[in-house]
Amino acid sequence: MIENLSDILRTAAESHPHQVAVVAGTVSLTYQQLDAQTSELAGWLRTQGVQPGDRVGLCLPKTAAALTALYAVLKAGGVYVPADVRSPPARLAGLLADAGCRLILTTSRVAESLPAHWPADTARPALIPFPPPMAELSPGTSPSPEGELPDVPRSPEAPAALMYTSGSTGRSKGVVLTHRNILCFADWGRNQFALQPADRVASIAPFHFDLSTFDLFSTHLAGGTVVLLDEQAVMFPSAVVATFRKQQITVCYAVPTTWVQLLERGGLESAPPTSLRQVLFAGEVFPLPLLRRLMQALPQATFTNLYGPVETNVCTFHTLSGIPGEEATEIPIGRPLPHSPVEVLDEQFQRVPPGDVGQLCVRGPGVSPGYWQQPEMTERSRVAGEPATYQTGDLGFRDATGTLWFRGRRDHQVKIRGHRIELGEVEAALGSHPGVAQAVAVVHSREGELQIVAFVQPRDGTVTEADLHPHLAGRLALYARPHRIIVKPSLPTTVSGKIDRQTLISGAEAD
Amino acid sequence: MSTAHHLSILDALCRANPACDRTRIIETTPLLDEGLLDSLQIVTLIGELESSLGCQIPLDEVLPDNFQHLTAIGALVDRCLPTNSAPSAT
Repeated sequence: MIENLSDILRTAAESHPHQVAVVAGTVSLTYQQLDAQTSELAGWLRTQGVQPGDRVGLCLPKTAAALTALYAVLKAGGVYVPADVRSPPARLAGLLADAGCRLILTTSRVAESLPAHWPADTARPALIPFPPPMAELSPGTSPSPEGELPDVPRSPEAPAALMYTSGSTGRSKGVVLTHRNILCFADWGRNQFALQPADRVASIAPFHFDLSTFDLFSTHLAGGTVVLLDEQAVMFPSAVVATFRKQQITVCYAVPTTWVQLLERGGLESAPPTSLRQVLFAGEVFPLPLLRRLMQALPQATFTNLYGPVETNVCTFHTLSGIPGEEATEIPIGRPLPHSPVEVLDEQFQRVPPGDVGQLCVRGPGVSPGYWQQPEMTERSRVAGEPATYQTGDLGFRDATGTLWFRGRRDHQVKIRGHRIELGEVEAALGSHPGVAQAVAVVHSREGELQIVAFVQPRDGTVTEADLHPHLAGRLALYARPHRIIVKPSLPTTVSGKIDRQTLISGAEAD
Repeated sequence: MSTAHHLSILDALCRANPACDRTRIIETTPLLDEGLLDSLQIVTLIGELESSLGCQIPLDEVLPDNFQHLTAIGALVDRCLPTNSAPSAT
């Protein structure tokens, strides 16, 4: 029985040694090759001081080498900390310092830029341009012929990954994911979508996004092939559709925004990829007219809506039985996964009757043990303090058939292209500029996509939009930066004195 | 690429992404690597290029190689201009 993520690769290498495990551009590796390269690199990581439980930063473009590094960290007993290579150095440094990484595998450019931004009170880890010189990967550093390094903890409760997500106070928080957390979802995904060695799964999500755990681990549990699409390719929908056709993709899990772009800007309807049999989406609400169009364009495929924050990974799903009728206005988030009971609770954590809206709360082995070095935040996220429970902050209700429906957020968290963003983080970043007295971020829809627009009240009347964009570029991830910053002498308030967000949203739409 | 052509493309880029600092962008600045264009901004940029330069960019030309830097975008625009109104190379 597989209880550790690195066992997935070893098991597949034994059962399907010559099957292609990964394709990235012109590079492809069989399971045997990927397993061998991973073992070699895992041994080398040990020579660099990586011990079981150590965090290793992976700040790399999405390539086959990055996947090798990810498995090598797991094989060495470490915890992988994926970070967006395009993030500003100050943000990367803050995140990787928070994780307390033993070492960081990254590009030469990032390795040069990080030291200047590293927090003074935190020990600086080794920054290693990746891949390391081949000469350093001597045979002597490989693990035993069985592919196992000594003293690697085999407990499924050991941490496997730290995934960082937006924090409302302006500081990102690291979600600890254990081997069991990821495995119970990956195994469910493999079975639910009947993945086979013949499947070719497109990996669109970056490794720092929890959707990637399906792409990598569900696919490799099945002995299938994962086809990596890098950060640039996914910005060009016609290139993605062309890859689907060329690579005969059978399964793809992406946020609705990506699917809509493939439909509207990728030519998916005029030349549909007929090999696609499973279309999975999560992370945001799929506008129904566009979902209908997608389903009409891919009549051979099955469509499934998945739901769940990174703290629980997917916890509910709904497979559509057919194209929703014109009378339908939304699709449900469905039913809980067998290992993740979901309850609808009131403020006192009591179950609400069917039809009543409450908070969606999750329990079970898929729930993260908590936030990295944030015990109070972890405790606040629990349901009545119980371990292995999580308050999602999402609202929803259960209908008479037991099906769950989503009803928005309790706070100012938004999702844009599947990225979770606390508007408070954007506001805190703007507020850190000396010329800003007050900042409010809102979202509005433009051409079917959500965008962040920020409104700023200047402290002395001289700050401009042009001053603020570079300030944010050093502090916020690309996806969290406002598309527009509007400077106003004062911000509107409601009769109760709160910022009138609705008026600001209307202002953003009119701008 | 002519200077006028270069400036028109730079104008279009800055309209698509108001966060661009035009004083720091040269012809070979890696626009995608430096996060100066996201997927929606690429769509806006195409609209700006088509309306300001009179080109028509087909879907199958909307590929990473054609948006790497201003020079690549300039070559794309040249290919997509109506042949009878192509600008001189000076």
